[in-house]
Amino acid sequence: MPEPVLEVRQLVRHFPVRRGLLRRTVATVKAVDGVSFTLAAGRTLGLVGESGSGKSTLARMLAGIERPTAGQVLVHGEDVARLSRAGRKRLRRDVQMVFQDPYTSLNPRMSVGEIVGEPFAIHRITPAGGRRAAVGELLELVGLEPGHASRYPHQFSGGQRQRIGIARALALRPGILVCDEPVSALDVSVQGQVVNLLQDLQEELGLSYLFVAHDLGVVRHIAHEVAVMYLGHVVEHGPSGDVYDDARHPYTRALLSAAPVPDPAVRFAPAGDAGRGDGAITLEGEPPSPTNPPAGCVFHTRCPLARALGSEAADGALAGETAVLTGERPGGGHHVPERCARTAPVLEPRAACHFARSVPAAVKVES
Amino acid sequence: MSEEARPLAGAWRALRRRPDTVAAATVVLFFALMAAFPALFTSTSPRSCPIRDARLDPQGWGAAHPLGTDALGCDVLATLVHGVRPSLLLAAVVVGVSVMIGVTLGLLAGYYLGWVDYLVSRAVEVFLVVPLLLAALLVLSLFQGVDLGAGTFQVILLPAVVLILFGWMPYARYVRASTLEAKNLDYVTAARSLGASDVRIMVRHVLPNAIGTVTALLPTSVAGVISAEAVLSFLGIGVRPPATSWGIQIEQGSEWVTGGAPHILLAPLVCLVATVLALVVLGDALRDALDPRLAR
Repeated sequence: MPEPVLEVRQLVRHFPVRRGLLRRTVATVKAVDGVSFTLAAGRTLGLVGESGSGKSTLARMLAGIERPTAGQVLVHGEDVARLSRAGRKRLRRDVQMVFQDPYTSLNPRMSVGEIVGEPFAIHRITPAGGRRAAVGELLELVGLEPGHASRYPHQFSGGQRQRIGIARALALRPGILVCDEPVSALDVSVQGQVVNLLQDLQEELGLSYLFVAHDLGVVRHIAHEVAVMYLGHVVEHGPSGDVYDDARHPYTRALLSAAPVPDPAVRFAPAGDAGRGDGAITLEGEPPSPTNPPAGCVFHTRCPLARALGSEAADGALAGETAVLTGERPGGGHHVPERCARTAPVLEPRAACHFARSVPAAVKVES
Repeated sequence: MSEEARPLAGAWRALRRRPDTVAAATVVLFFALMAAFPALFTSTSPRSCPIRDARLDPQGWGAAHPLGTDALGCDVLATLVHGVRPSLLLAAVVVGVSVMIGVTLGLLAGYYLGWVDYLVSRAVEVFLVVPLLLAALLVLSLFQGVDLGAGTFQVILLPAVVLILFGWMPYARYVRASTLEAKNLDYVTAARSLGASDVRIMVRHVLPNAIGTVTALLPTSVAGVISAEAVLSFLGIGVRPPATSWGIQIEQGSEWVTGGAPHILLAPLVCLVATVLALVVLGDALRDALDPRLAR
């Protein structure tokens, strides 16, 4: 495995909830609660999960916008928190962010040239050949014309604006780009162009991406590895193909089955209808509040597997389970919580056997 | 840098294309000229006030008293012309300094929140609940024996201090509110993740997008200052005689509106309304011109 450019160890971000006259902390929102992973040079890690799972908070911590409550972020092996102010500024140049909404991420009162050239102004750098030439080159790199520098953001379409945002992020020649849902605000036709641009840039400049998205299709297309987040934890992490084709964690399976398939016949095929799709796994209930996550495995309150195990779950056996990814990923392979890995054979048939109603049927198939 | 100069050049081009803007600019220039060179507009002294000529009706151009005389027999046109300088200077100084104080404090409060915001917000509330006249009386008693001199600036110094002291709060409030809104937008986050300093973020990103409400407030504030100054004059801490101002004229003229001499009030009132309207139009045009989204 190549040298990691970015390493995250047990990263935690808690937001205090303050109430009352004395602003006492009455609760803590555990947005990110112990996440570890590594990102190698030239690779893309896709981060998926539903709203509120902590994806964006994680992305913002990596880009230096949020400070972690605990844990370490290592860029090229250096702990960001331990560095001096100047050192942090230097490292910050190496991790840049692409934002979700291209309509709010560009200052409407600055010209494109000022926006893309601002990183140079902030870091007091005069690039070789002058700032204007450098801005022109950056605009060409992302598929715009150098002449666009004198225009203003409102004169561009969403896709073009996102290209401007990417050009700004690339100005300081970073090694790592944190993309927080970079295409989810764009038209589907434009999404493809921007994703392709990102892939071309990765090839050309050897960039590493942390690609946050809730669109599983886009992540499958661009990511080499996928990490699935639920309630501030990574519940499954592995090479893209493995996670998509052989998801082990019940949450990942539910997430994958909820991804829209552009074919109604497949989409609504009954569960277990061989060769026509797995049928949708419907998770019951809402995600628990991140202020008071369930003890043990955070997913056990909604886990069809936990329910299938029935009495064992009721005894609280699952509550004591550390069904969360911790520490290093052994051997860089497919990684899920131990319990899910152990119980996985029970779920092995590709049909939604752990889907509460179909459990008996699936068991029959197996026996 | 030419990149910096371009928005201003564009602003000038957009300004020129609007006839209402040109008219408004003409009005403002006219009064500015009057303030600078009052002798061009009248040869009568505002201090020669023969009481037997009191409350003469307007006599038209070329006559001794084109706009008539006031209750004391002073020439209305001469008073008007000589009152422009203190009135406009006072308005400009008060609005300018209050905006500077208000915008700075509002920006700091909205950006840093925490104890800065606590201090600024409480200060705003304290100054808002103290009645202007009460505070004016206090300042008056503090400065009663002080002779500041007779120059235009010295004449307006006292009312300026009082009006600034109790005039900066609305700006601070508006700017604080729009700063709160603007500072959470992605482009501010983007600048921060690039490592921009707080000052740079405030000046380049937050302020230009938060100042809109204040520019809309400015022209009417000018009118407010001129009329507030009239009230202060009544208390003796406004512009002091023998200097004159539009505020004093309006104050004195209002007694005679129903007494057969409405021109004493109407002359300065028309000038005040014209100035304020011109500033409203100019303010609108300037705001549109500086907003790249509205440029053609």
